Formats: sequence, C-alpha cells, structure tokens
Amino acid sequence: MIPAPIPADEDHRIAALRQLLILDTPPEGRFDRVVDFASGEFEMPIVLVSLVDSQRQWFKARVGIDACETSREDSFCGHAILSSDILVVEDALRDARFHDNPFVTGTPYIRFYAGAPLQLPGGATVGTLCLIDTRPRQLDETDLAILGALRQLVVDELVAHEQVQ
Amino acid sequence: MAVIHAPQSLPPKPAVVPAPVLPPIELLLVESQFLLRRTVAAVARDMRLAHPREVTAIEHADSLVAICRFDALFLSLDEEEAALALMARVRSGDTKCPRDIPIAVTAAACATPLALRLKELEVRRLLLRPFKVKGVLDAIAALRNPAPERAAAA
Repeated sequence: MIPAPIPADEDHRIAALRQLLILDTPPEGRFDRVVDFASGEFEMPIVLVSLVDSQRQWFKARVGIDACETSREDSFCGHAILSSDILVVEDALRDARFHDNPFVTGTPYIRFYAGAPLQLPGGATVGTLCLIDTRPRQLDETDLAILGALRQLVVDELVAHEQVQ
Repeated sequence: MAVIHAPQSLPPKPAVVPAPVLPPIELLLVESQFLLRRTVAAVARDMRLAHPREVTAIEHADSLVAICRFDALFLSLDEEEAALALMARVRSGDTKCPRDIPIAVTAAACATPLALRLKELEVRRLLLRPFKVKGVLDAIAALRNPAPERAAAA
C-alpha cells in the first residue's frame, strides 16, 4: 500500500478547509441529497462527501457506511486530492497503491473507487465526492461528466456555507 | 526490392467518414427537482449537447416560449394539464417556437388517455420515473436528430 501523500500546498489546503467551519458539524440535507442522488444514479452502494483533514478524512455526507471518519493515511480520497482530475480506480486489487489497503482487504472491501476532487475557488482541494463499490466497475465519459456536475454542486454548497458564516 | 501486393480478392477498405458533429441546440428544460435539473443542464452543456435554459415550472416556461425561440423542449409533466396546454399552444403556432419543435416529456405514470394525448401532440420521447440522468441525456441527444419520417425522406 502507498499511504496517501501530502500535497505540496498542504498548509494552504488545511487552512481553507478549516475556514469552511464545516468539520464535525451535523449532517445537512443539501449534502445528503447529493450522495443519495449519486448512489441511485450510479447504483453505487457507498457514496461520500469526504473532507481530508490533517490526520483523517471526515464524512460530511455518507451513504452505505456507518463510520463518520477514517485515517487519512489509508484513505483513497487522500490520493484523489492530489489532482484536479477525477481519480478512478477500476479494480483496487490490481492497483499498487491500494491492493493491500485495509479497506480493500477488509470491510468495506473496496474494489472500485471514483473520487471527484472538491476544489474551492481559491484553488485548495479540500476533499472529494466519491463513489465506492465492492466489485470492479468502469465509468464512461457521460458518467464522469455527471459525477463532475454533482461535484460542482457540492463545491457550490461548501462555498455558500462559507459565505453564510 | 521485392514489392508485396495485397491479394486481389481483398475488398477495398471503406473510407473512414467521421460522423457529423451536431451543434448544441437551444433547449428549454422544465423540471422542478433541483439536483436532476442542474445535473442534466450542466452535463448537457459540458458535452455540447445543448444550451439549456432551466425553469422549475410550466408558468415560467410559458413566459419564455412567448418571447424566445427554442430548438427543443424537455418538459416534466408534474403539472400535467398546464404542460399539455403549453404543448398544444406550441403545436398551434402560438409561441416563438417552431410548430414542429421536438418535444420530450417525463412523467410519473402514463395511462392510455395520456399516451393518446402525447401522441396527438407529437411528443417524441416519454421517460417514466424513476429514470437516470443518463436517460435524460440520451433523450436530449435524440431531440437533436431529425424526426424519423423526415430523416427517411431526406
């Protein structure tokens, strides 16, 4: 397993995340609706709005998983925030970064992952909207465009949240 | 130098003709559900299928078709009577849209009377709930093509 690397702009990224004042806040319908919608659209058992904090990833919205946070080091989202492109792992068992990851070899037995980075207008990538399945999957161009559109709605809500503070 | 000829029996390779790229259409999208409407509009724009104009209710669509010309309509039948009345006005030429504008609709259910009415109004596609964004995008893509009878005549 390759632990989630720390991006070059980590300090700026964490500052932007903390400035949202959203970590450890209660669930909100506007985010829950997006993960519910994505779960139905893509027929994915697990969908998350994951925010990557300094030591953990914390889930602002989640479908199909009970935990509200996991370690950053083991997280797929920690890898996804390294780029502005959507990270697609079609089969985690065939990917050197994840094949022996505890979330792959153990519950929830992740095989497929697609994470759309949540990049704020200032450039900081604070987390992902991610789709997870327990079997290998593929996404086509239209799927990626739909995931990208839903990701933008989450970013809009994060920014709106910030402006209300 | 030896020259190797292809066997004469092989048929010539067909020339590769790229499919024509259709320009985006001006689309009026009437859908009350925020996530569905925004996602469809964003992806249709992103994939250059359409320039969508989004409204949440038939009342707003009524105002728009009175002053704007669209290439296609995509209507939710949540407000069934109002939507049918709007389509009737479009077909009778009482709006800025062409009378033969392609129309697709979404509905929760479709009994025979509604199906007959939609046929009378020459609705090209009907999507029954629950459907996916992908299904809506396919329907929008189909609205860009000529009607089947016109395509056959061309």
